[in-house]
Amino acid sequence: MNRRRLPYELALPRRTLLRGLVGGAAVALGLPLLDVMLDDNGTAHADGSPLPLRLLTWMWGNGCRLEHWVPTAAGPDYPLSKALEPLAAFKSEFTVLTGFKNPVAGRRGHHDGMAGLFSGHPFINLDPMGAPYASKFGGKSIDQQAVDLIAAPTMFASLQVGVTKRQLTNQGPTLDTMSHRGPDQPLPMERDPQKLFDKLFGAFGSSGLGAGGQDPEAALRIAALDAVMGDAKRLHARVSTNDRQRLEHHMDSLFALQKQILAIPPECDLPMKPGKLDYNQDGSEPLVEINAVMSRLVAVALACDLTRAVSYMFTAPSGAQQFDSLPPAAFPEFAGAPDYSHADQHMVSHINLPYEQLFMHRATVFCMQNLATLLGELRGVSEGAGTLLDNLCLLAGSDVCEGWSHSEDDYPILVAGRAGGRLKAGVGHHRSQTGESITNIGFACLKSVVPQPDALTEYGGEGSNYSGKTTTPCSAILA
Amino acid sequence: MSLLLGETVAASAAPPADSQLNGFTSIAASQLAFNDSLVQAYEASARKVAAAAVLEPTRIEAIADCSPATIGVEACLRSFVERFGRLAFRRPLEEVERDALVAVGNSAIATKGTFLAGVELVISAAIQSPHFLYQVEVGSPHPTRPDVRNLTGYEMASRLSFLLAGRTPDVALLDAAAAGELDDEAGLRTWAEKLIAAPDAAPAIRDFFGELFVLGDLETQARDPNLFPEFSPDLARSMREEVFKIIEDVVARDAPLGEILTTSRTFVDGPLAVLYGASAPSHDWELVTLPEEQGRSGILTSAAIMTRQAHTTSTSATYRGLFVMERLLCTTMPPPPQGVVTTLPPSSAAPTLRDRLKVHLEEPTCRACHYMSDNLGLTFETFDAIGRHRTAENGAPIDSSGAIDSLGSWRGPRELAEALAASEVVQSCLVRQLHRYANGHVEVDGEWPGLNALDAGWTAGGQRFRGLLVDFVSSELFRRVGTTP
Repeated sequence: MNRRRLPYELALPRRTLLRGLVGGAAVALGLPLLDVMLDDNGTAHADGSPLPLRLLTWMWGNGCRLEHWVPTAAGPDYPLSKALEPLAAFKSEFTVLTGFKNPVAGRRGHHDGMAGLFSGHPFINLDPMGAPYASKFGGKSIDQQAVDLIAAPTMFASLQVGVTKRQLTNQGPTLDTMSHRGPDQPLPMERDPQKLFDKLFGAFGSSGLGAGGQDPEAALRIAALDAVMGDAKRLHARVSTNDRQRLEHHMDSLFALQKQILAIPPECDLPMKPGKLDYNQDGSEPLVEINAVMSRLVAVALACDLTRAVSYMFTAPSGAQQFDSLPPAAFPEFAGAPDYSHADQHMVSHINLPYEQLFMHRATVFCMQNLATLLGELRGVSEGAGTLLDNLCLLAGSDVCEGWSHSEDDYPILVAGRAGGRLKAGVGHHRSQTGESITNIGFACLKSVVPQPDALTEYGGEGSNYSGKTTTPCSAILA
Repeated sequence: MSLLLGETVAASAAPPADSQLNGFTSIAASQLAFNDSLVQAYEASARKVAAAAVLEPTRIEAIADCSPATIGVEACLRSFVERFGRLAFRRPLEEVERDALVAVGNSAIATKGTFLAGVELVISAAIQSPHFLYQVEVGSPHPTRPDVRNLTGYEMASRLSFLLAGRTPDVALLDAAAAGELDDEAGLRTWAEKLIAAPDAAPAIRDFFGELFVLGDLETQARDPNLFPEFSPDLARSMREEVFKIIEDVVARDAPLGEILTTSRTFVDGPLAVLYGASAPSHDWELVTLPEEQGRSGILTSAAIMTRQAHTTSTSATYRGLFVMERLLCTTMPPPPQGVVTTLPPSSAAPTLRDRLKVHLEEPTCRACHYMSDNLGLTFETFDAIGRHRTAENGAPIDSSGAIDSLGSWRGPRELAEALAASEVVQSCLVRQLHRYANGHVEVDGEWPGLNALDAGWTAGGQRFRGLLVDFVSSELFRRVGTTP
């Protein structure tokens, strides 16, 4: 297959692992992969160590219409459903998984799906009497579990990327973000392409991260952070258990920042800094444009090995995203239909009438077009004998099955990538006949990217009389 | 920040946005932990602030109360650390903290050779410290109850200042804490009254009501430009300002707070006057009486709340009803059952929202929860998704009457507002909301006696908001913390 060569081909690094010291320990960062460093097969480093594996989670909000999503046949040669047509160019590189149920379902629409699909733990209700409802994750999200198990010395432990800004922000961490270090540590998303660029690349140098141990300014910043750390440690001894945990998270992040300041980032050719993409306040968001830039930045960040875990929220759970590419003119079969091109999608999702539900389906198609953009970027970067896509696992899904009913017994889920051969090729469409748990898919995805998959014997958690715990990874996808 | 280092310096700070939980950012702030992005953002912001601060050496020397030229670099740095540290940590520094910051400053002086370089690094370190970023409340043991701790004078100074003045305590308040003036109820009342009356207290009251009435993100709300071409971020800011002006007027006159729900007068600028169909004001924020036939009533029918509690293309009876339930009545609605049929008839068959939502009140599974929210929410159907008055939807007249058990029946928004203003539930809910906002958690069992006592006093006193604030901050609810939050 022809691989698109991108303008940001990786440059040969002049430096390797020059590191500063933090607390007497050397700080090492990963390097971008270069063919010269690989073995003859291009499947491992020349020294025998394996290629880096990454986990990506990708979501769109408010589900799909199952009659347009589920392919009519299973197996490798399945016919693409209408909703999946935008992904035709990648058909051999992802598996469609249907018929999977959420074991932590039935408590609250949208929250169930976020927690079940992206963590395997039942969410925690924060529902005190008479106050507005909220919930938080019951455990680490899958990307953060991957961060801990992969334990790679990357510049950024993980990245959180968001495209839409039309998000529900008043129901607590569960709907705020896909990434959670724990119940009390949701990780916020970056939704401004310029800021993501600055975070990833623009901030390197003496004024930002990656200043290196030789820079006197960096040494002073470390000294200031040491004093801050000292305050945190002394305070730690004097506060409650809950606050102690919060301070520990704070100190972890202070330490991570010190490492970032002192590290010399891997050198690779940077993409152009994106222009300003305005989120129009008149009801339009440039979703396609933002997604294109974000997708490229994520691909470069992975190629440069700046991180190995990414969560990517294209549209939001229960979100008010708008699809201005879907005016009434796009529905000639419904003459005189209302104009929902600036309506909030969650509202439309709950109108269970033919036109509104066709709108929902076409919104799903639009989301798949945008997933194709990211897959294209990932496949566009050569790595070893294949592409980035061959060395990662991308778990894509939504917060509900069908939005109108908040159904939870047939989730729309895709798993893309080969995870260095740990994920089966050529599965095509697998439909569970037994209503298998969606947490089995998460378990398989996590196993596919960690250094010691055999040591990982269970996934998910229990709580509030619900359990997402599983010991059986989805065998349909795990090689 | 402006109190610490001046307005210009404060403008260079770029602290990250706060998230919220159970209705208030303070509840999130007391539960959620920092993360890598946040710590990185605070460091970047602290460095910017510190760099800007040393561009004003006169101010630095005023804070330090010395000049390095006169008493020497090392001695003056130490003085700066002690005096700035006390402001930043909102208490005197402990010896180990002072020594650590002096060492930080000295390391910069050694590298760069100037006093100001030392000061810059000290500022940067101090305002990244958990003692600056968190409101640290360790307290002191209660003489008889092991389950609670009394807050110290300095901790009370922080609490009072953040709640009533919306900023970190100034030197005078810290001195009062040192002198023991915040250790008893009488002293707290005196200081509370002083802080509330101060000219810079307005933002604190705006902050509470802004969160309570969900006004913070009004200008980022989206509206269909074809249906609501006049909606813009500027108009949204005017809408929010109107609500604040109504509240500030009632609070400043020390009138019963219920007036914010029932007043028939409001403040408009030019664009709002157009939206409301009122005559153009001779100057911005003129107090006007809106056309009688619109039936507007205080903040409830304000464009701000009507807009925030609506969809991008249409009104929402559920959002508006839930707003009244959660924000004024302190009650909530359970989630919709899974698989619930949400087929509402099209507007061709059912012209008004009340017609379309009929199933909510007929179907028993829907009615159980929607009875209250729909009855409340449909009352506001005479105001569209940006708060413009209307009498009909799709050509059919709008019925804005309603009834719920706890409030009786009403014929429109005005009568509903009267019922709410007179409701004991609404009055006690306001006390609970203030407690949630100020203490950063939703009330727990042991706090009910204190809340009930406050409620009784505030009702008996005629619902004067400033009086409630003074009663609240001098009560044990505000002066104690549990050993486990």
